[in-house]
Amino acid sequence: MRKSFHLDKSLSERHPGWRVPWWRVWLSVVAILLLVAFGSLLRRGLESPVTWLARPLLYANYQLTNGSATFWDYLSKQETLVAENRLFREETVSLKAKLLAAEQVIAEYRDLRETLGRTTNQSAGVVAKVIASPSQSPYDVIILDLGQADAAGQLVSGQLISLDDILLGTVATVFPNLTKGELFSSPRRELAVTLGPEAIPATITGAGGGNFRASLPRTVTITAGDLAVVPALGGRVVAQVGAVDNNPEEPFQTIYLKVPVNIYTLDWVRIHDF
Amino acid sequence: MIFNRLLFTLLLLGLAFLAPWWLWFLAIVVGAFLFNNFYEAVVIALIYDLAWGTEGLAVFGLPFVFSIGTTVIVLLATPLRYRLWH
Repeated sequence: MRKSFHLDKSLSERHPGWRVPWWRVWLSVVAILLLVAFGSLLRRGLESPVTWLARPLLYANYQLTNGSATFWDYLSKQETLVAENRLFREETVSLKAKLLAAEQVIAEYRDLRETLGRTTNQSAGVVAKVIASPSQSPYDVIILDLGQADAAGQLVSGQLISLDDILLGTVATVFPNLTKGELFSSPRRELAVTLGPEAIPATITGAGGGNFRASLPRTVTITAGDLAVVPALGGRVVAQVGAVDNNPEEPFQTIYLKVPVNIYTLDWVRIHDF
Repeated sequence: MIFNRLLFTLLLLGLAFLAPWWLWFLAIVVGAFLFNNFYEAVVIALIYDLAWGTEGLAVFGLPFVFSIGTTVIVLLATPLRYRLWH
């Protein structure tokens, strides 16, 4: 009895569909290597036209999502109650976020009182509508309805995106009629923050879906609910500690953080300079 | 068959912007098993990566992760598909 991992020669000859031609395999490998090597070049050339072509679909999706919710809300009493319940939940989340932001402002105000003479230079920025939320891609990218043409050249990449003074991310690319924003929670994106009331310096790494991870020595005391603020960006809140995995057998503890607002139901955000 | 293939490609393009990513990607996998050498899906995945991704952003350490994933799936689906239908 023949023992081999190779297909029976006669079978593969009789059924050529079994085999993928080598030229096709090599072509695919070359295509993948080209994508990895020259991906940014390709993006620079094609990103703008592709986003321009996708704009009607993105707006259609936004209208469909909003329209269907309104229709079903009126369909029956029960569903109206469910919708109301959902609205209250969203409002609670929003209020919690506002409360967190307020606490942060109070803390900052106390600091400022201590350091007299310090001036702040915060511009109101531009308000933009979120037409595509991260639920449609695993990249933690949001697409905003404002572009270079609408905001009269006020939008540039690197500007901050925030909601209720909670930092969400930065502007990645500005197109003529749309803006793409990358959230701080994008996979593998790192951010230097200070954690908790003792302002322990740490680096948090984006894990997608509005989540972050950080690793700190086990002796450092971090509790759920502590805030992560970015000193380099005006001491604004960026995340909140959700859970701490403190295993006594390991020298480091893993801290799991999340954005204090629901990134999947974002409606309006503010784009501003530091 | 060509009409079905074209229709499915257009459906994929629509799903890329209207549906959650996992549903769209599932449709790509289904398409790879329905149609022989379904390389149109790679083009749709490239459009998806360009529209949703940003410069320097990498999922699983790879840029254009959906384009690369779809290329591999289409390549692997060819013999598997043959095994399924013959």
